[in-house]
Order: sequence, then C-alpha cells, then structure tokens
Amino acid sequence: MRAGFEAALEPSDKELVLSLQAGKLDSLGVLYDRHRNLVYRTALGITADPEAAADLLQDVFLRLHRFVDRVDPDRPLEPWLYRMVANLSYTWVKRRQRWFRPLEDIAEWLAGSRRESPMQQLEVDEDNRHVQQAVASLPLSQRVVVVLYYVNELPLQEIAEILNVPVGTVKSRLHYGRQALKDSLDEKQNFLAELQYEFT
Amino acid sequence: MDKKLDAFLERTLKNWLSQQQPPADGRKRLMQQAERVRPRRLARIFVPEEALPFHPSASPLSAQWPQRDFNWTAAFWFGNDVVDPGKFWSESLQLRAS
Repeated sequence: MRAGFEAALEPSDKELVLSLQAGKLDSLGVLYDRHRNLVYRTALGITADPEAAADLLQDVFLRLHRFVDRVDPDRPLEPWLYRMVANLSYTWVKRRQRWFRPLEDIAEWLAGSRRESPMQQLEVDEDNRHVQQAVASLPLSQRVVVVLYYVNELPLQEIAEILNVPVGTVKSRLHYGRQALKDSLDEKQNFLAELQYEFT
Repeated sequence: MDKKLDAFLERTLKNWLSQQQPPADGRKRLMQQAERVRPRRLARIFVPEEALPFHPSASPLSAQWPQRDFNWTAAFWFGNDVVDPGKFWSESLQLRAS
C-alpha cells in the first residue's frame, strides 16, 4: 500500500521529459535509473558485447538529452527508447561485421567471455550457453526481432513500428529466427532431449 | 514443439539477461557527459507572414494557387536545427488569429 502510494508520487515519464525539455538535467538521471536495465539488456541481447551495450546505453540517453525537444511527451517514452537502442545496436553490429569481426566469431567470443570469469562460468547453465550461442549466430535482422519478442515481450505490431517494417516482415523474421534457433539447437541432441524432458 | 521451444527460449534468454547489470558508474558518467552536451533546440523564426512571397496578400491570384504546388515537407536549415515551414506557418496563423 505504502509502496503504491510512493510510486504514485514519483514523476511520470511525461513530467520528466517536460522537465528535461525545460533544461532540468536531473530529470535525465531519473529517466536513466528508471529505464537503464531495459536499454542495457536489449543492447546486450543484440550485440552480445557487454562493453558495447554499456556504451550504447550512454549513447541512447545522451541522444535523449540532446534531442529531447523532438520527443513528444504525450506519447510513451519506451517505444522511443526501444527504437533508439535497436537502431544503434543494429548499426554497431553492422560496422563490427564489416570492419572488425565476422558475425560467426561472436558466438565463439561469447563462449570465450564466459571462460574469462570462472565464478560466472560455474553459475551459468549449460543450456543457457547453447541458446546464447545460437542467438548470437542468427542473422542480425532476425536477432533483433528475437530479442524484442522473447526478452522484451513486445507484441509483433509494436516491433514492426519500432523497426519501421511491416508486421508481415516481423512475423517472417521471427519464424526464420525461431527455425534457425531450432536447427542450431537440434545439433545438440542432449540439449533437445533435456528440453523435451523438461517440458513434457 | 514450437510452444515448448518458445517457452524455453523466453525463459532462458530472460534468465541470461536478467543476470546482467549495466555499469555501476553509468549514471555518473552520463551526467558528466550530458553537462558538456548542449541540447539542440528547435529554432523559431519570426517573419511577418505578409512578407512571405506565397502569402495570399502577395498576389491577387495567389489564393487560387493549388495547395499541391507547395512542398510543405521541405525543410530549411536554421543553424543546426531543422524547421518545418508548414508547421511554422500554421503556428504563425494560429498566433495571429488569437
């Protein structure tokens, strides 16, 4: 009851955006605290790179500050954040693909990064690792849709609006992404056996 | 199988990502950077509408010009910011009417 009362006293996103538009920088910090996990985890899901995700998190909120006059406070802020982080992550991966590292290596790198931290490695479920590798090896357009759909639980229509593509395209990417994940996981016979056991 | 796979993927991906946290000093870093960045403000240009060549008063026949001849989506630059002349024009008319 008390928590609900306190929550009601917290400024809404609209109030914070209006305040930021009026030049009150503290509002940016409040918005950051409120939405940082959403932005960071979406960026991490798409890039599979914690350092890049941290940089993209900063970039998204700096752009919010810089272009706040173009943000409509009467509309929800989260779709704007999703659009920004998806586009920036997309650009980051495309650049990296082109100039620095083939996409296939990301899966290997992801597995390698686990080995860097023995304590974490112990905690990470082997099934999780298989799925992460499979997601990281998806084509970028499918990966973005998979992350927004499974991790952020966004409806197909909203994903279509965020990515500025038709709903049919989102459905198609999700279908092929899911199929690719299934094919990739099919190779792990033990994994699928466990999966079937767990859900039957 | 799709539903099982869907449920498993959702659970596993969420498990993985929910364990990941953004850097602890992220807010401090953001505020430091934000203080150095000046927000881009939308420019406002005050020009008497009669001075505009396409205002109806500029030509007795101009009221008959079809609207489609004007490209209202064209923007012109003022400093670093884009101003939509269509929006500016409508706001200007509203201001004048009030």
